[in-house]
Amino acid sequence: MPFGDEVAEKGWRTGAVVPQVMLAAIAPYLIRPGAAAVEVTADHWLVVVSQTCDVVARALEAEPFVEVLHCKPIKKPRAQYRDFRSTRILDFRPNRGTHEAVALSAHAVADRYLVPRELFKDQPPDADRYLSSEASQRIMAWYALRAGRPSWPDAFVTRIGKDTQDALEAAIEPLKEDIAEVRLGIAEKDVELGDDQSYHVAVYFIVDAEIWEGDVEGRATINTAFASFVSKLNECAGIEVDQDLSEVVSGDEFTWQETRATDEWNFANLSHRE
Amino acid sequence: MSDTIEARFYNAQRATLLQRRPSTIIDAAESFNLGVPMQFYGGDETHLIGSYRMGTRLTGARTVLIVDTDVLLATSAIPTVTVEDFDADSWSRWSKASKEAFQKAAATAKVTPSAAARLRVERLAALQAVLGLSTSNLAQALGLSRPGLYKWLDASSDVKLQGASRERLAAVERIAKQWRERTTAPLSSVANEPLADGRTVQTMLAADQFDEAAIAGAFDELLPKLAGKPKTRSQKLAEAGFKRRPSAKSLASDE
Repeated sequence: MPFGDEVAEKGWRTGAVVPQVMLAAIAPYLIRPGAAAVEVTADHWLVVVSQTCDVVARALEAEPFVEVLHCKPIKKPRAQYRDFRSTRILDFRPNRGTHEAVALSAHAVADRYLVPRELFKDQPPDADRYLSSEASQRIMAWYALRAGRPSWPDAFVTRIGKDTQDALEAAIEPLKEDIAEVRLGIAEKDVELGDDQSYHVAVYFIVDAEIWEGDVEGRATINTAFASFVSKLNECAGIEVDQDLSEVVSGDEFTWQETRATDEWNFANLSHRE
Repeated sequence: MSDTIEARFYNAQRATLLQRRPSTIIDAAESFNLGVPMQFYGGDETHLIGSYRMGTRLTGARTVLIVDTDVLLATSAIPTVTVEDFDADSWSRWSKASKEAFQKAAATAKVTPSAAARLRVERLAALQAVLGLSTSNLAQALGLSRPGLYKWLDASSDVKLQGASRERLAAVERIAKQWRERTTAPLSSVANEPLADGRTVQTMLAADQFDEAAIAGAFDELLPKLAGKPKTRSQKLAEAGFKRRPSAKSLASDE
């Protein structure tokens, strides 16, 4: 049987949790450079965060390591670290179905370790603890966000104060239903401007084509959010929203070129200086 | 008499006191050389915003002292100048720093939109939802400039809809209502389709005086065109089973 099939047969996949019985074998690999081995206690979750296809890759040589994330319990997800607010630290609930009260926290890099994949051949994952499908998606999306987020100028980020961030977040709260995406073009996206210069931005709310064509109430919600978002952003000193360009646009009309000229708005884009 | 201008220490409570009797700043200001220009800024221009113009005892000054207490309520960054440190450049430094602090505070000050302003924005959003016009075209239909429309869309801006503007908005709303009663598709899908007389609904809406009955009549012509529009690529994809992948933000919040 190919190596990967043996691993798959044991039940390893993204979101699986390393059982206590494996910790002794894995411990030598849970070391930060220049630091002592990390202690993993019984209430910690050592979660597989490699993609399932990599975890069960047929040949060991193709994927010699599995990435695991050392997650430690916290009382509850903190506002600044949950729901992709930070690309460094994620607070999350691993499985509301099986562990409703448990909340975990991990650092994207400092708590991530590479463990030889051969160690996963002989033991199945923890039978009681595993990430829900939603929690697994959340972690993978978090890593994708971290890797793919645009690097906005510090001087731009600084101009969007905490109160404004909160107001902007409130403005686009209704869009969480996935009815539209907010995209932002920054004309001076590679420049740290002085205090006497303004960033010029274009704001686009890209509306799901089905909503655009057939859901008037959905469009009203999006237009209200757009009005609120643009006015709040425009209030920031040193940021000028280009009112000739900014629009609510159907997803059928927003082009590839326009996508490349803009970044998806994400609060994690503002958190890199924290 | 105080010898310190300590506006940075004005919390909301003390700012309220300031509103009644701005003693600290007055006292400190009057202890200085009145020939020195003194300015506070409440935005881009030197002006009075619902507050104090303290010129009566400062008539010798070339510029009156203006304090924007609304902004003082919101800022903690006004610099301090003490009598001991005071020199000819102090006021200009203070003025410059104050301007920046006021601008910053004004930008971040929480503005509670009035019920009328919220209603105005909701009306416009509902209108735009039905029409689906670009901001430029909607502004034209409403007889506004594009910046003017953005001002209407800003719930924090104190715009009163009066006279012709209110009438025009109401008329466009009536037209939108008629379109909404016939279809859920936005009018923009066919707003530029030529009608039998060569005009388009977009040009009819942009006219200084528009004929509501004529526009409503044009809808009869446009609805068959709407039904006959070819399917978009995304519609074809969806019908063929290619569904959009949900985005990460659609995951339920973790709290």
